Amino acid sequence: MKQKLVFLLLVLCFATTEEAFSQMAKFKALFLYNFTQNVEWPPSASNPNEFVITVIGDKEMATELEKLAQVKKVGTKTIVIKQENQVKNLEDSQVIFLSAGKSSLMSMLSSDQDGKPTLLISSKEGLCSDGAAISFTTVDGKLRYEICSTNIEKHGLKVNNKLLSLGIPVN
Amino acid sequence: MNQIKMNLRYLLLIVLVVSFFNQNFAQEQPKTKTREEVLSMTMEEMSSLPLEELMSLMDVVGVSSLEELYNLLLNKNVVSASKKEESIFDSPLSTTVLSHDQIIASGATSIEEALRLVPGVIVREKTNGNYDVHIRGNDNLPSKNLLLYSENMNTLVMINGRSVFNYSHGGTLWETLPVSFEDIDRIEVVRGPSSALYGPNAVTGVINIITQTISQETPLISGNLNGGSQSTYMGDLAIRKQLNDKISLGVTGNFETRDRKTDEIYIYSRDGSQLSIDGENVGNGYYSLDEINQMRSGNQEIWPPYTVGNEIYDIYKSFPDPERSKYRYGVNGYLDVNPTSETSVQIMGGYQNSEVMTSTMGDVPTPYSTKLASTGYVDLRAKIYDFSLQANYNGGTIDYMSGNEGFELDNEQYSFLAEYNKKFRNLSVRPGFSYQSISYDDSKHISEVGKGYLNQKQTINIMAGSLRLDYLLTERLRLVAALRAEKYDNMDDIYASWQFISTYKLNDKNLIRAVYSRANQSAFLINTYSNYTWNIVNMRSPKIMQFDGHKDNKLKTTDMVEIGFRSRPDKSVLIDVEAFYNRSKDFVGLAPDMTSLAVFNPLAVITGAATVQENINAIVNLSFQNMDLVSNQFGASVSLDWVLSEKLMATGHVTYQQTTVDNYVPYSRNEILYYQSSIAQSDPDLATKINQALVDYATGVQTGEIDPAKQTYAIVNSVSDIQEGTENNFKHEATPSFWGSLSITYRPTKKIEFFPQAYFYGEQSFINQYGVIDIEPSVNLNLKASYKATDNLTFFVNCRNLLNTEKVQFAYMDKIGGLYLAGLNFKW
Repeated sequence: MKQKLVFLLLVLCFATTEEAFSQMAKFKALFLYNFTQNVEWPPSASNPNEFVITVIGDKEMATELEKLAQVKKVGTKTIVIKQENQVKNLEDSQVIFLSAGKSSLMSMLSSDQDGKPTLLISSKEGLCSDGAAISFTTVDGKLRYEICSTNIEKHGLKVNNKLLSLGIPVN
Repeated sequence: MNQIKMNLRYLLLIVLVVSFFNQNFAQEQPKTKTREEVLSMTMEEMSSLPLEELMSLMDVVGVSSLEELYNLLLNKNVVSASKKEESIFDSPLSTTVLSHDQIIASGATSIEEALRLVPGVIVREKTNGNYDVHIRGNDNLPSKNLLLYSENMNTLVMINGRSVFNYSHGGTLWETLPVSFEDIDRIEVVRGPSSALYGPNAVTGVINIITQTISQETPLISGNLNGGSQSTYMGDLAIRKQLNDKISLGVTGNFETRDRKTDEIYIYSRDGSQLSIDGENVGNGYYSLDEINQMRSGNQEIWPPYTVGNEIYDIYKSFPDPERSKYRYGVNGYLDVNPTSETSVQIMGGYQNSEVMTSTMGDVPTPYSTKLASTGYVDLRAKIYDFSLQANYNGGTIDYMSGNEGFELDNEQYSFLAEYNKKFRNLSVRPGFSYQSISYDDSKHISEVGKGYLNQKQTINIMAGSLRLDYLLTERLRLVAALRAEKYDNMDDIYASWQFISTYKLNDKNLIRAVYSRANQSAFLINTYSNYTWNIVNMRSPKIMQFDGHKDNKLKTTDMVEIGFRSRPDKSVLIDVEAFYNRSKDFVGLAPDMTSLAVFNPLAVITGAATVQENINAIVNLSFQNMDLVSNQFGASVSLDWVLSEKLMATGHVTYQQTTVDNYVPYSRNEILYYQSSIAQSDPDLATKINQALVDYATGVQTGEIDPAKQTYAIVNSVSDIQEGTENNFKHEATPSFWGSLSITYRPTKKIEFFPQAYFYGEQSFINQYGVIDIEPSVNLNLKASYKATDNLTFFVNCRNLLNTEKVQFAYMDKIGGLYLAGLNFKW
């Protein structure tokens, strides 16, 4: 009986876990989509038909973005979600999202994307120092983002003041 | 005390009133949508909203409690392991981070007690609120010696990278830390030799206390107040404000007062003489100050008063508040300036005053001493592009043993560190330069030269260069090498320390790592410069003890090999395993050099006014010297953090270790002195040598070579032999073979939280020069229960040692009873 109770407790725990995580992934995906509305990519870099978002190491985030891609476009472009598990040799993307589990690879990703018109976003906070343009974070139970204008501009992108002012500026 | 209580009541009243109005005001704010309404919105609806509205909706939903728990427990960042921010999962060293919220939730009443949540850290309470803290133990070496060597001289404690080490004797005076919980953002603990990153004394690791960054989210006013049994009262108050995006200001203050359960202190006979009070024999034990004032050891008063300047140094000066274990307050000021996006300057300054009753660092008839400290600091940190600079001053006056001449010292410490962090694709290079100048001066606090350890201002200067290379060879393999070379002004040797580390990520959920590292202690003032003559008046023999230091003492070094495994089998679980072996050598300890027999009052003996038998006694020369002792320690720690649900999370850790020592000298200082004294006394030519010594003395006085007012004795003979029989593979049991902690956070509702914790350790056997103390295993149960009345106000009750076990946790110190507190946390 005790074993059953423990098992039930564990099942309940993990069920809650997954639900809570998908909620967070959903909002991160919405934020990410909104970032694309406030950043300008150079015309030369534009694929006429596709806006590519590459998600590294985060299936939940990719799933939420897939849902978004079905109902939204960036300008006139169709959103294409690509999933990867490594940071090297990625196809050209307008946005690359790096999962928390891969956060140690941000500097490698940043080096690899050097000079490319790519917005680098990390799921974990504190990665602007490694080259991330935007890092998600939580402050007092609220989802926020750290933003580094220098890292955005390094990639030839333009960011509007609204996005900068709503985020936490990081040197 | 009454004044403090009254002030606390007023403060409490103000807090409640303001919180009430604040809450009512907050409730009047309209909310556009409920959480349920937001959650029912479709992806398409939400994706059409502008960012600011989306953020507002997200704020309504909030990050789930579970998400907060994951961030709180499992997804923390750490800076201290690599001097750059990284995920704790990726940390190349054995690393633990305690967040502010975690510390508050745990109910820890001090920084030291909070460290019981950290794997590998053994924390034992000496008196109410005063603790011994060791990383992985390996403590009380050399044993069979002074209680001083039970102090942790092997861990570098820092506040924002500013060392708060006691370079006079070695160790950390925890009560002199000016900061408290409201200042702290997190405490980072790195286990294993870390001198290559942080300089000397990071031998078993570093404890870096990192203060909060003042941001828009920082409450203008925050703090806590609590009090309870054993007249324990403590509190924090912080007022901080980000004025604009370039300037932030803050002021914090904290206080703490605690009592013991007794006002008596333990007394032992150091030379084996019979203790007595008013002619009645008594044994070792606890006595009141009045009793000790009347006590004799053999024919001598055990605590005779004497005059220093115009002041009488007696038992009452030594223990001005024997019932009080701790009193301290601290204030801190913060100024952060960010003139451009690439530069930042942070200035922090503060002051603290403290008085604690804890274990002695000297050699008196009791294991207790009162320490008094009044110190201040200024710390400047700057980042200019890829350069980081830190310069600080620490100074003040510390009396290590109140009422004992020679133990009160003024100190001045200046430190400067410059580092440059350059990234080349996957390689991070961090060269650095540092300079430390550490001065201690006892001359203002002694009646005459010779009465202090230093008798003047003495300085140790350390210059060092360092280089750290961090290379991500592949997405999985990381290689780190850190090297440091430091030069002391008193020694020819250059001390090198290093870390060679590799980590390999099997996948995103599993990481293995290996470390080989070396670290060293710094020189300490007493080891280097001691020149202290103790004219003993409360022991039968010897008559004089001379303590000397050596400028060429080698510095203790430790080599360590460690392997680690970190795993996140599920998002809700983090497991960390570390196994280590270390070897330490070049310990410095106080040991006899020589025992001499001498005739005191030689002129009286020569003129027949006194006999040789009445005046022959011993003179002992001791010095703080290198020992052949080698310590070998192996062990392992396992820790688990598990978020079971939004309502329940569990954390636990356990450490096992074994320590053996080679070249162990199984004799105490006194046993060696008795041995030397007996050889000197059994000298077959003793009578001839006495006569010769008296003749030489008389001749010297006649020729003017000897001033009888200064040299009051004639040396007869000297012996420097010590007993044979050093031991190898001696089992050193001052550290328990195992210890650990289990705790649960249970939140039945959003407003109520329980935090039960069990801190446990196995048996230990403590050896010092006056005996062997066996300390039995113990389990300390703690419980904090909190009620969050509003977003700004939380009430709690907090029970430390819930079962009131009344057990000794540290040799010779107080039995630790239950501590029952109630209080509140507030913020606006």
